[in-house]
Amino acid sequence: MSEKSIFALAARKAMSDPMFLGHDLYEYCVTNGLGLEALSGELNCSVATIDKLFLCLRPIPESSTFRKDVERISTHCGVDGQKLVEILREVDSVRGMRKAPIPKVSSHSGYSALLMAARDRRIRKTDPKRKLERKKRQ
Amino acid sequence: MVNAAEIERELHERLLIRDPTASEEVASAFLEVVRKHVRIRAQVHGIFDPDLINDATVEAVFDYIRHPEKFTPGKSSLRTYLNLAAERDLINMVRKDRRRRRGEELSADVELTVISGNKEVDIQKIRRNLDDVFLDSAVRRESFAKTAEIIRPGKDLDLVKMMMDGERRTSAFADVLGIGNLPAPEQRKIVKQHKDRLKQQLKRGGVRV
Repeated sequence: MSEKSIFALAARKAMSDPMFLGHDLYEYCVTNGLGLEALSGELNCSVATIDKLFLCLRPIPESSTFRKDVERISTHCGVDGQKLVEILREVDSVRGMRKAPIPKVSSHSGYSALLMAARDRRIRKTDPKRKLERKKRQ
Repeated sequence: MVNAAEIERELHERLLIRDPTASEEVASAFLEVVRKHVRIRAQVHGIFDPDLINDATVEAVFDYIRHPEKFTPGKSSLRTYLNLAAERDLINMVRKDRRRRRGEELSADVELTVISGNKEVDIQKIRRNLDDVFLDSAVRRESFAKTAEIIRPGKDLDLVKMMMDGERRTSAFADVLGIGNLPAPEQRKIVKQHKDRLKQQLKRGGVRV
């Protein structure tokens, strides 16, 4: 029986470690419902290259060396650097949205304003007088 | 031609400055060789679980990538450092696994006592646990060299090491004994005979309790 490639196993483990690029790429796959093959298609590389990519250190988007780091990784692994930048930016913004505090709707004014907006739209759709007026205009 | 020491030094320096591709190169260069070393060392200790071996290897390499500053290049080669770190991780994992299994067994014992109220089962379980605790404490107190003097190298020593590592599965012992093809009750009987014999041998060898 052939033994599992430890490199591939390490790449899978890198998915759960924020130190590695694999962590962000895995998050990207989860968010977009992609498998590894689809990811390799997007990055224009083989699935084996994805393992290499997963084990690179994660470039930090806020860092001044971000562009340079991504370029270095894309050259080293032979992947589409521009696409990699896009993916990492997307993951970072999604992460930012997840971290952002959820606005509280419990305050009376905010909640009632939301409800009013919802009601207003429903009334407009079903109001028979407005429907008649619209027909006359046509 | 660039030698291995130079490659190691260069990789280490790149990792220290967080070169984003250095981690992949470290993994590519060392994972397989470290796993080979860990596998050999694990077998010496009677550990054959490939998952434990893989986990220990990956954990050691990842830990180095996480904290490269822990490694002092002048002291040893990077390969030796990773080999030792992986071996240490393996021992920690085996200990953790053993503690977990003991915990499960203990809670199973309590459950059995509460639910069944079967005194005979309780007595047998407790006796079995005491036997293992006795063996464990005895072997732990004695050095490995002493155990190796008492038990003949080969299958017997492998079995004792498995017992020391907290292995409980009959199938694992059966594999070592080469009786994996026999029916389960037969395997249990033979494994028990061997375990009892080895415990007696340890006792007679003067292993203090």
